[in-house]
Amino acid sequence: MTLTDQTVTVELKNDLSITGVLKSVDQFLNIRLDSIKVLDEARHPHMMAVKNCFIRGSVVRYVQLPAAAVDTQLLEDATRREAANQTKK
Amino acid sequence: MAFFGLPESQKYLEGGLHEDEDVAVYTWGEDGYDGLGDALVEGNDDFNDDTFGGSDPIGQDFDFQSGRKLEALERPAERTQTYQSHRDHHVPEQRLEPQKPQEQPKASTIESLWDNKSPFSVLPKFDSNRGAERPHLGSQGSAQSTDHGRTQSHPRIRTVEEIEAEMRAAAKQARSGASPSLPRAYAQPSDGHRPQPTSLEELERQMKQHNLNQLPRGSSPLTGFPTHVAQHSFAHQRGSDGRSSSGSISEAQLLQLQRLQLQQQQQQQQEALQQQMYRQRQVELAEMQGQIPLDYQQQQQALAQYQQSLLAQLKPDEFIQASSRSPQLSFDPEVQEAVRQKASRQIMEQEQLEGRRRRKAMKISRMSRYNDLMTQSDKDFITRIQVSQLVTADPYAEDFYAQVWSTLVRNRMGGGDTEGSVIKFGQNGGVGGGVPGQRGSGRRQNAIQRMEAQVERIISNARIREKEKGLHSIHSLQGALGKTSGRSYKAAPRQLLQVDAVAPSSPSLSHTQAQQHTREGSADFIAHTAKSSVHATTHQREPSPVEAEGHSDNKPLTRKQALMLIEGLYDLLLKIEHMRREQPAPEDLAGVDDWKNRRASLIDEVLHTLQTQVPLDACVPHPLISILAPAKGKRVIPRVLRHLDPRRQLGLLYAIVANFSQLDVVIDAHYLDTPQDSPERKEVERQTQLFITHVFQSYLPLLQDLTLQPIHEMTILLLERGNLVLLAKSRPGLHLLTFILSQVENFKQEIAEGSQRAGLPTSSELQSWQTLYDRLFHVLSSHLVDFFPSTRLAAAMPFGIDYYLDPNITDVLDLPVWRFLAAFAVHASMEQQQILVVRLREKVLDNVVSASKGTEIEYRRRLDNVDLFLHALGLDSSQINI
Repeated sequence: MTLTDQTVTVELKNDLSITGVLKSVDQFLNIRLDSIKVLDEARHPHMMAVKNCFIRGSVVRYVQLPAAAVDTQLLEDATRREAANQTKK
Repeated sequence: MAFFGLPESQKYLEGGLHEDEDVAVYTWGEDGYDGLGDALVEGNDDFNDDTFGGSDPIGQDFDFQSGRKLEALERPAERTQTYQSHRDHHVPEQRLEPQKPQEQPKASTIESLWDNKSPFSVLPKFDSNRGAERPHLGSQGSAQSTDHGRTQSHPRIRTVEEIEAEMRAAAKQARSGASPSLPRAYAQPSDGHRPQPTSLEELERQMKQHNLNQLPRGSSPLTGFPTHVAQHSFAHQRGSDGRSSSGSISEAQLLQLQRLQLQQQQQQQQEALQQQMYRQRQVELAEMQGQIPLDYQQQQQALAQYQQSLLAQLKPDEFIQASSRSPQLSFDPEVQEAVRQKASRQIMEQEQLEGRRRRKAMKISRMSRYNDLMTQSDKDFITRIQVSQLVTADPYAEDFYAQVWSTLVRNRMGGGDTEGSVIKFGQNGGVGGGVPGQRGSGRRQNAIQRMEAQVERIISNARIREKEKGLHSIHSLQGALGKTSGRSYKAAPRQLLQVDAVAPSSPSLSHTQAQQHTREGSADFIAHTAKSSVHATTHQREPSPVEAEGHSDNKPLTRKQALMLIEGLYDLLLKIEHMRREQPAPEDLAGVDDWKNRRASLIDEVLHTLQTQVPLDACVPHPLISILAPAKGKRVIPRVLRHLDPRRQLGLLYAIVANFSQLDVVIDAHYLDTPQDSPERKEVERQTQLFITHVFQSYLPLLQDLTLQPIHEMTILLLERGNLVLLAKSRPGLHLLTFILSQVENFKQEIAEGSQRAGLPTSSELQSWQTLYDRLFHVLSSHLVDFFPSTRLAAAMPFGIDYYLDPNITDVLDLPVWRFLAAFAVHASMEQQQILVVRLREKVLDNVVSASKGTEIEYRRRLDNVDLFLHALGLDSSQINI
C-alpha cells in the first residue's frame, strides 16, 4: 500500500540525487532513507560513508518512485484533483 | 622551675625550705648525706663484671634498636608491605626525600646481605621503583594492604589529618577503579618512611591469606617459591632496556624461576620474595584477564623511562658485577626471549581487544546521552499533533490517490470490499513521522491499537469542532508544528517544467516536427480530396459560435494548446467520475433530473474540448488529431468513451477515422522502418503501442457491433480522405483495414450460413461494398509488397535484411500484413486474386525458401504466415515446389 521499504531516488535542490530505501515520510515531506547511495559518487565523495539520512522536506526537488509500485495515471488524476482543489480555495 | 630564676631553685636544691617540714627531704648523694647507705651490707658482687661485661669496651652486638639493623632483616617483608600499601600511600614525596639518605649508609651484618656484593644487590636500589614496576594491584590486594596498614604499628604516629587524607585517597582509589595515578606510584617508595616492624608470624599469616586468595584463581601452589631475586630483578633491569617490562613475565617464565629458586638458601628472604611473587602474579593475572588500567600504556612508558634513569644512577661497576655474577643463575636467554615475546604479543592482543571494547563502550555511552530525552508520552503527543493535521473529514477528496489505489488493489486481490470503504490512518501500522520501527509486535501492537483509538477520538473531535466553528476550524491546528511552505524557494526560482511550443527537443515532443516534416506529402493529397464531395456526406456541420471563438482561425493547435485541452479534458472527466459518487437516490426525481442534466452538459463539454465540432478540413492536422498526439491524449480516449452513448462514440470514431492518416502514429510510422534503435523509433513504437491498446482496443466492442453501413462509410472516409498506402504501412492503419475487411467477411459468412440476425447487410449493401472494395483494391494492389515491414527494412539497408535483423523479429512484424492480405484476398474476385498472386509471388517464394533454411520454429512460423494468405486464396504452401 504505502511506499515505505521501497527504493526511491530523491533529487535535492542542490542537485544531489540520493537513492535509498524509504523508511518514513511526515507531513512536511521530510524523508528518512536507509542504505543510501549517491548518484554521482565521484562528485560527492563525502557521501560515500553515509549509510542513512534524514532529508528535510523543503530541500527536495523530486522524488522518483518505483514505477511498478505506482499507478501513474491515478497519481496524475490525484494531482489534477489536488490542483483543482487548490484553485477552488 | 629553673627557668624562673636561679636563686629560688638554688634554695630548693640546698634544702632551704626547712621551715615547713611537711615535705620529706632526701639528701642522698648530697653533702649533708647521713651515710646510712653505707651501713648496708651487700655481697655477691664479685662476678658482676663477668655478668655485665665489666669495664671492657662495650660492643654493638646487643644494640638492636639504635642501629636499625632489624630493618635490614625485615626489609623484604617491609617491601611487600609498601607494595601493598602504596595505593593508600599519601605522604608527599618531598617528605620522603630527606629520610632516604639516612637509611642508605646503614650497612651492618645482616644488611650486608643487601649490599652491592650480594646477588640481591640490585633489589634495594629498586625499592624506590617497586611501586612503578607494579603499576597496580588487584582490588583484592588493595583491601589487604589497607588491613595490614592498620594492624601494623607505626613508629611515627600519624596525625588525624594524615589519616583522613589517607582514607580519602583510599576512597578515591576505590572509585576510580584499578587505575592508580602515576605520581602516586612514584611517591610510594622509601623503606624508612614507614618502618613496619612485621614479625615473622605476621608475614606467615599474610602469606597464608594470599595463598587462600590465590589458589581459587587457578594458580599453581607456590611453595617456597622465589628466592632468585637476582634473576628476577636482573630481568627487570633488562626489561628496562625498553624491550619489555616486568609485566611481560609469563607464567612459563615463572615456572622456570620456580625451578631456579632451589638454589637459594635464606628462608626469610624466600618467604618475603615469595610474597612478592604472589603480588607479581596477581598483577599479571589481572593484566591477562583484561583488567588493564586505562593509562596502562602510559604507565609502561613512564616505567621504562624511570627504570632507565635508575640504571643511569646505578654505578656502572655494580651493574656489571651484578650482571656478570648472574649467568649461572639465569636461564637460556633465547628461551627467555621467546617467552617474553610470546607474552608481550599476548598482552598486545589483549590491549587491542580491550581498546576496541572501550571505543565501543564510549560510543554507546556518548549516544546514550540522548536516551529518554523524550518520554513516550512526549512522542505520542507529537504524533497526535501530526496526525490531527492529516485527519480530514473527506478522505476521498483529500487523499484521492490512497483511497482509489487501495480500492483498486483490493479489487485486484479479489477481496471485493464494499465500495467506498475508506482506508484509515494507521491501518498498516506505518505512520511516518520519522518514527522508526513502527510496525512492531506484542507490546508495540498494543500501543498502536491505543494510538488508533486516540486518533479516532481526534477525528471525531475535529469533525465536531468543524461543525461548530464552520470553516475556520480547518485552520485550527494549521502550522501547529511550523509552516510547510516558506518563501525560500522563491528566492531562486527555477523553471521546472518547460513545455516547448515550437521546437521540441526531446523525442517525446517530436511529433509536431515530424508532422510538419512529413506533411508535405500528405497535405497535397488531403488538399485534393478535400475538394471532392465525399467528406460533405457525413459531416455537414456549421461551425458553432463556441468553436468560432476557439478555432475560427482554422490553424492547427500548437502543442501547448493541445496539452491544455487534454488537461481540461481530464478535469472534466474527473468531475464526471466524481458525479457518479454523488448520484442521488432514484426516489429523488428532481435530484436525478438535475444530476443527469449536469452530467450531460459536462459530456457535451468533453466532446467540445475534443474539438469534434471543428470541421474536418479546418486545418491539418485536425485539432482532435493534435489532442491524440501526446500519450495522455491517447490514454484519455477510453475514459471519454465510457461516458458516451454509442451514437456519440461512433461520431468520435468517424472524426478519428476521417483524419486517420494525419495521426502521428501513421505519419511517423516510417521511423519504425529504420533498423537503428534511435530515440525517435522508440518513441514512435511507444506511441503506436499506446494507440493500439488505448484507442483501438477501446473501440473494439463498438466496432464488433457495427453494421455494414457505418463500416462502409468509414471505408469511404479512409479511401477518400486518407492516404491509404501510407496508412497501410502503419500498424494501426493496417489493423483498422484488417478489421474492416474481416468484419465484412464475417457478415458474408453469416449470410452464407443463412443467419437471420438483425443488422446483417442486405444484398444491395453488399453489392455497393464490392464496388468499394474494387476501388480499395485498385489503390492498394500495386503497393502490396511495400506493406511488409521486412521489405521496407530491407530497402533501407544496402546489404539485405538478414545482415542486420534477426528474421524472428521480421516474421513477427510481418504477421499483421499477412493477416491483412488474407482478409484482403477473401474479398477478391478471381482476376483480383490472380493479380494478388502475381504481385506477392516473390514474397511468398522468398519466405518458403528461407523457411527451409531456418530452424524448425522459424520454418513453422514462416509457413504459417504464408499460409494465412494462401489459405485465403484456397492454396497451401505445400503446393509450392521450390
